[in-house]
Amino acid sequence: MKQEDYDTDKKEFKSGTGLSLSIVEKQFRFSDWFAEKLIKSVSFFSIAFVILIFLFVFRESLPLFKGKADPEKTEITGDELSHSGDLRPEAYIPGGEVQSGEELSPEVYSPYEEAPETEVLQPETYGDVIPETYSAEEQTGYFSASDAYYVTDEEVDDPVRTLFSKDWQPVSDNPRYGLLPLFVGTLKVTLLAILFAAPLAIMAALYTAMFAPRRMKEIIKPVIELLAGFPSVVIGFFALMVLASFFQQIFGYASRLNAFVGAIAMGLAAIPIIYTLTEDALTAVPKTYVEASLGLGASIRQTAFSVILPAATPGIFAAVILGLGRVFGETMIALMATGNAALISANPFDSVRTLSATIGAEMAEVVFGDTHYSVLFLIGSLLFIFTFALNAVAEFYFKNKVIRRIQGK
Amino acid sequence: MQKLITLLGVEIPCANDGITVYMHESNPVKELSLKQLSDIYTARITNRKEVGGPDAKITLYGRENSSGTYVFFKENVVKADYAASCQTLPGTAAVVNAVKKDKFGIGYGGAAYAEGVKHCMVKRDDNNTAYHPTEENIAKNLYSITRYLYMYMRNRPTGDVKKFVDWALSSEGQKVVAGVGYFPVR
Repeated sequence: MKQEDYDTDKKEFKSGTGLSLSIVEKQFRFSDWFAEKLIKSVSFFSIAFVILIFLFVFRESLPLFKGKADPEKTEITGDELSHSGDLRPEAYIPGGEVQSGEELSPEVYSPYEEAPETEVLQPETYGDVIPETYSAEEQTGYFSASDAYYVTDEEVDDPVRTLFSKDWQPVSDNPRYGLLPLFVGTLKVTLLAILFAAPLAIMAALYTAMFAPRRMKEIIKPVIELLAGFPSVVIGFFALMVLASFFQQIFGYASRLNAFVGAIAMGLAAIPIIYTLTEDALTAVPKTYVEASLGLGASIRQTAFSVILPAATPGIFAAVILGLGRVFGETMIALMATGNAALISANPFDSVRTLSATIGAEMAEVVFGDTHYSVLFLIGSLLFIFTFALNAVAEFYFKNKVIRRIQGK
Repeated sequence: MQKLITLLGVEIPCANDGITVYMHESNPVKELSLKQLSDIYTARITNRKEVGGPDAKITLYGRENSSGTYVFFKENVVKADYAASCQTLPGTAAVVNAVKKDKFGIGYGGAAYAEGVKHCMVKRDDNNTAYHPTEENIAKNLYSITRYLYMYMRNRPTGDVKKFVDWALSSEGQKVVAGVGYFPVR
């Protein structure tokens, strides 16, 4: 009886599953295929987008290497305007206030007639206001010709050559686009920020993963992750108003906004990223490791530092690299809290200008197609290349060599 | 050439702005000449002693090079490149705020923004007297660093636009200009 029942059951079960399986396969095949293709195309598009963005950014910086930019441009550049220096927008004089009739001559507004000579195109001053509040005559003898600062060095017509100079003076009669101070500044801030953020975040993650009581963990984790949702403008403003004064009282440095203040603020932005990923890496370490360690008589502290931490190194390393990327590309905090003076110095309390802050500050008003514009895009592509190189080195070199050594393999 | 001219549009000076040199309230330095300002911003003068203050390093604050004030101050006062140590801040309010909190700071920006900081009197050269950026001094052309604020239009104003422009230039509109801290053009 029982055996038969079992057999029939089994048969039914067998046939039932066979049938349902085949139906399931047939029913879901199209949507499966569709979802698979969709995911594939999304991932493909994200790769394509990254490449396209890089190509676009790099293309905009290309005129730098081609030498002279081609004269055909969609907008009037500063160069063109300075060559035809007397071309100014016409003035508007409300009715009755007209000083002399000639300015209102129709030639000025007609796009088809020959442009009259400069007197009509001179900027008009208006009514009783005298324009020469700071005219040239009043300030002659302002500088003597021998003035060392005022005498510009030999005219550099090739902007590429100035890229390796120590001056960042893009808006100047003799513009110099030295990227060196920007690099020094960026590296200084990034290093300081990671030195501040990484130990704090890793220790916090170790605490919540190993030592903290469950209730404490439930409070700490969401609160730190909430910090990740903070807009960087808010952190920047906080650093500008509060942190800068606070640290000045402690350290007594001269310039209130400096690399150190910026680094602390950027560290605040990087901590939640490093913390969350480190925490995940620590909890992903197999429970058997902990049990074995504790079973051999190690204390919880010994287990945490000598077993869990080394076992989670690859994950922690990835977390630090991601935090580094965040700090490297951080714009708003750098713009607000670092003072943005392009100096080359090793002092952490000197003001710095970072690469991304330079783009953020100057892109808004730069002349389209200008050398300055190209240089800013070159900085953009350099930022991209550096983050890429950083990730590549982390992935291929450190993962294989350094981490294995730490883990004792 | 002709295309350029049509692109240039119409320019209407509608207010006068005195570029003010800001200093911390406790700063004993009262007046600076244009030459001294230039020397300070090109880092030829780096100590307060040299302009009649206590022995302290001067911290320079300025605007980003995307700012019109940056270019104006550079072309009309500094007349050379700014020193690399000049901290550039995003916005005049940021400059004022920085100077407010820095005893040894110096900054520049529109007169309308100065709040909680000291105006520095500016003289043309050592033989002239120094003046505050007040309405009277600017109207009499005594204060040295002033600029016009313009409205720009593609074409000569007509209709409602003309009404607005005429109002802005009328004495009523100029009262509003003075009310927000700028100076009337007439």
